[in-house]
Amino acid sequence: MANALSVPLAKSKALSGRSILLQVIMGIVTLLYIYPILNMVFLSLKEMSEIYENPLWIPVNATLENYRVAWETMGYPRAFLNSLSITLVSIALIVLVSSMAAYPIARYNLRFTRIMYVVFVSIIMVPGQMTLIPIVRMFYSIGLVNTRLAMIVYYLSAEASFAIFLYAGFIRTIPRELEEAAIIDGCGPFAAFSRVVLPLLKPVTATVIILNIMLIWNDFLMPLVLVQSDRVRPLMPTISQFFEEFISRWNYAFAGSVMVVIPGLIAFLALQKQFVSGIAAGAIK
Amino acid sequence: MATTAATLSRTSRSQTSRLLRVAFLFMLPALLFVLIFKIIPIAVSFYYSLYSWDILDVTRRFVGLENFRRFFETPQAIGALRNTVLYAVVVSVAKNLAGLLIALALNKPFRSSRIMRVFILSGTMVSLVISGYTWSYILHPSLGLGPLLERLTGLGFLNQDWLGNPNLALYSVMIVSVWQITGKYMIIYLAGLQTVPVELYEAARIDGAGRFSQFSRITVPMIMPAITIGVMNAMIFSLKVFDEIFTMTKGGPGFASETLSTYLHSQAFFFTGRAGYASATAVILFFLVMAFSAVLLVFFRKKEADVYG
Repeated sequence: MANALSVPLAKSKALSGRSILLQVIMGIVTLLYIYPILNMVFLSLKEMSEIYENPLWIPVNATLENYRVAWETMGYPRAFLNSLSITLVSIALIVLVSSMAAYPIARYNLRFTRIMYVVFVSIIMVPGQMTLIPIVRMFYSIGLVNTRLAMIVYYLSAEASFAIFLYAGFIRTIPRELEEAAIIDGCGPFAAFSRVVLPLLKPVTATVIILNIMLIWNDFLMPLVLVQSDRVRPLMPTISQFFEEFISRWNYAFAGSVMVVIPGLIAFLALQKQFVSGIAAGAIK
Repeated sequence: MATTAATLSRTSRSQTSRLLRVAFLFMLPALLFVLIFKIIPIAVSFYYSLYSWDILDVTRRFVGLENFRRFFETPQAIGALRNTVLYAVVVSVAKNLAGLLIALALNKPFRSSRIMRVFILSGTMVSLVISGYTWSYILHPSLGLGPLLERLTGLGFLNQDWLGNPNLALYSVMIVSVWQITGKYMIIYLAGLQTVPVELYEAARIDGAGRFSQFSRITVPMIMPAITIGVMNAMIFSLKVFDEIFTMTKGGPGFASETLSTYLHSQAFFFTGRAGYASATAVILFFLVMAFSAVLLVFFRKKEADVYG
């Protein structure tokens, strides 16, 4: 997949009037896209009194006080660690379980594997809302509600089928010869998978990881209904609760928001290329 | 010969059963989790939708299709259904148009294009929840952009209570939904545009084709896979809209921006005894997603296998 952000740069040519106009229009459009984020940062640095006088522009008397308040009241470190552990463990399991399941689908031409592939692919499109009420009910009755494990089990089950679809498609493009050689050398099927195939799955694993980081880190509805305790609540429902609490204290609420946004932005800037090709490759969902 | 054939078929049968065993073991973890926490809950949703029931299971009474009848007799529910369809259609078109136009404008090897692409992705990176809250402020009637825009342009209608006006609330949320995800559609279309061979445009120019006919005769057919993916994707996501409604309007004012997801969420978790009714709402959402996907698949003359392949 061509990487949309890494187009080679041309030597700057003389710009025609038309392309200057286009550049100006695109500059305005870009401003429209970045301004709401910038304004969030501006607001997070203002006193409320300044917000009323200067609601939309760079702060005159910038203060970090809002961040101190937000840090102390919203339980940021705990929420961050909850998000981090839920996301990491879920993704590790999704990668392992889905790549294993995809292997026989891609390699063994059996009625069983063909049927299972159709089953996995056809539930990809079913909206999560269809499982919401039964899942909550089930997790209540087995005592999993208000645990990180519940979130992990949910994400693994909800996202495995799409990952299986991606892995199966990728494994089919890998030549069989390597595995066959390994099997002739006395490897069992599990060793052939883990020693020969698994190391070749890095590109598609990158896609699976990126897509699931965005899905799980930013997910809101499921943790909203599955978690009623501060102890295990991840970042998104935490910031939502924080906004409800500080409904007109925009400065505190946006200081909290900036803190919520920072880990994602760091990950994006560090892994820009992977994010862009992951989004492009995973867009079929 | 006969013996060899018999031996062969016997070994191949025993090999098949061995392969089957191995395949089953490879798939067992995925099968277990997907079956217990995805497939069974889907089936259970259908089952619950036929019962009058509350989520803590104090009472459960079979009522047949009563929940569905009630849904179609409740103005709030009909409103949520209408809003969901309206929202999904408008937003799916708008997301794809915005993504395609920006991709066309930025499909150029300038450094500025690269920076703009990153900025346009910012909404996608900060999540729907945060986007909803920052835009609640931008659309705020006294602190937001409205008063400033009125002062700058003299156009009074720009100064509105965008989220507090029942006639505008749903449309205001639509703007935010499109803003938030444009970056993703821009990437889908940039990837699509990069698959179009440059030679095609050169040949067309030699034949005297203008910019517009180059676009409609070369670009559009060549990026049809991206358009199919983009529209299907947008439609399925938009029908499920929850985060931006919840963070910006909570379905209000009144029920003006209620959608099926926010409706079933509040019915299931803010009221007792309505879990069956909420499940019926989920089933309606399910059929809506399936119906729209089917219509789009036919529209794009593609079998599902092609879309996923």
